[in-house]
Amino acid sequence: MEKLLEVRNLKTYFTLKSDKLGSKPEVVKAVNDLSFEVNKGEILGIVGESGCGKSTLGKTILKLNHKSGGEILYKDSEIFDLDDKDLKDLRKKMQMVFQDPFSSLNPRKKVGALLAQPMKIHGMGSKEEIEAKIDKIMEEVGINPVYKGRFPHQFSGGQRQRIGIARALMLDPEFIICDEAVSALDVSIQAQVLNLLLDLHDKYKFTYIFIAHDLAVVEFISTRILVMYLGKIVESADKNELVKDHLHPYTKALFDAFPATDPKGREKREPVIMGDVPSPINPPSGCYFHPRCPRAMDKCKLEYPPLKEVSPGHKVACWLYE
Amino acid sequence: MNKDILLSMEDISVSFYTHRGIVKAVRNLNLQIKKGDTLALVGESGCGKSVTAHTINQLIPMPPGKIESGKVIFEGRDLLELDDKEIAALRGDRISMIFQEPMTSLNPVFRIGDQIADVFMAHYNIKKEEALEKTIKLLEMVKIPAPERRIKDYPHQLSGGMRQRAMIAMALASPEPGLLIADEPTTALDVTIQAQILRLIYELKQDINMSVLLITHDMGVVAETADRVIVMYAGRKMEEADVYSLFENPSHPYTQGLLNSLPSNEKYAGANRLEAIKGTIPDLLTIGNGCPFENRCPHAMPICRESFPEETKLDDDHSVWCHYTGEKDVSQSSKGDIADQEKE
Repeated sequence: MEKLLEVRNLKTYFTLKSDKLGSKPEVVKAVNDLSFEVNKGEILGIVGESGCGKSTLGKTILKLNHKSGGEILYKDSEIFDLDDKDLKDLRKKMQMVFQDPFSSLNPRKKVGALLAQPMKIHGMGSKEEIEAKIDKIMEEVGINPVYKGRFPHQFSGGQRQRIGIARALMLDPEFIICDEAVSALDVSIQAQVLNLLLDLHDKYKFTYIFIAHDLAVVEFISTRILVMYLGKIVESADKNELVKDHLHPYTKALFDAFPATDPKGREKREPVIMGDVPSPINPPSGCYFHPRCPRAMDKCKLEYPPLKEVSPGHKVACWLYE
Repeated sequence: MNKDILLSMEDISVSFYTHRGIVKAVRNLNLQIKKGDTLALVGESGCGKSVTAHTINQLIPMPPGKIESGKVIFEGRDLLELDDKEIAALRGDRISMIFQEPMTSLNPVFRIGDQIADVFMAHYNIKKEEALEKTIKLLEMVKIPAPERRIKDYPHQLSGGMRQRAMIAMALASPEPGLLIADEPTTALDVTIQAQILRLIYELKQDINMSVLLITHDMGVVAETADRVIVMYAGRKMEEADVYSLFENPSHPYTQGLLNSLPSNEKYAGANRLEAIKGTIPDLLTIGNGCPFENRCPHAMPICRESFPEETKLDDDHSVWCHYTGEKDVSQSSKGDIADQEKE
């Protein structure tokens, strides 16, 4: 398999303004020393609860955030080292679809103008070519091109998300990051948009990073899954492997906590892990998960476990598997 | 009337008179909640589930809202005929409500303990100290750790899950909680926290014989907590059943479509497409007298456009409102059918 993106020891830290005079500023380690690869044509799902750094990671990969350390290699060249011109060229290849279809589309522009914008910015195509492309792409995402004179508010949430996807497609990208792209949609519409993303994947062989908090959605769409907790990868494996054989206690808790769509046997279900996600400002010592972990040992309180390959393609960061 | 029934809504219709026209948010809805039961109202945005809940304790803004018809019988009284003072006395006492986002329902400038103690002081004739003691006991009951310290915290110092626990505690701070209306109580929470809160509601209901009206869009939440379920769509009741029967034998094409839309549905193991419901939810402004699901339904017939169906009883505990009576399986017909969603 061809490697498209490689992330090595990536760190993105945010420094908070200190509220007391003379006190040390606090640092949020939103992305804390992550390494992984994305292969061409794959759908990499990134799942985790709020504050785990999954969205920061997505934005950093597109250089929409700064990085504090590490490397992001897209086709072997470091994104942060590119000059403006090369970066602009690269941006054509990398696109993003956002969560909120209400705030990610300019309310004062008509859909046609919104979709024309990317090609205009990159100086691609004549007016006629742009129009023809808009028609083709709108057709593709399931919105009749006769509506291109309408404003975003005239569409429903699902249709707006389709427009967001259409905008990402205008520059013929090869790599798309979907950040909670279906989270704001009703389930019947969510199913339509997931199918659309998969249709596009089949047709154009895109590579996706699919970021979501909803395990069922990630599990359905992805070919490989990373599970994140407080800025760290706790487990990564091929989808089928992870569903069958999740090793990390946090992954297990996520799977257990997900409500089953079957009321049978609900009285007998095991209680889920207690406690809240700790603050990423002062993460716990040792393994960040140990205060909530039902299987925590002494060692877990002292040292963060390395991400270790336990079987081919299946990595887990947990002292239980040392 | 059955003595076990705590609340019954009869033929409730609610409309909103907007400058664009009349939005028929809820139409001819009947429902009953038994004592100690959890009734779930499930449906997608705009189906009228929250409007139904707000009709009970009269939180519908009027105007533009108007309750066109119907009765809400709670313990023998029609709530719609009570005056403001009487309904205010019921709110928070016999009928409590928790909302989706606890941060916006708690007062940010008062300590958690004081806010809950206020509720006690409003319902019992007691002093602050005693109320705070009761508050600590209550916070213990909703499993907030170190409650004697937590009562001094402000809402922003609590996490989302803790805040929702505090809201639940507040809802329970009355002499005899009757009905708890929970409007999307876990939608803003992470899934591990959601599981804890659902568990808590489930256990509390068992312990103190409270009835719960659960409003949710999430079939998973329904499966975890409900005793009975009403599936709503565009202001109408489409199917009603006890929870086991509904999940075992979903009978309305919309209920089936809703379950088929869930990627967690077991049948999608190894599949690479979902069986989505085609089309979009109709505009409530222009909706006619037929079945509102008609434009998306794989079994739609001419009659579906003309009239809303009568109740069909499948068994004692399972009813469906649908003209179609054949084999109700939409699994084949709607497969991959997403492209014609614009052709309304």
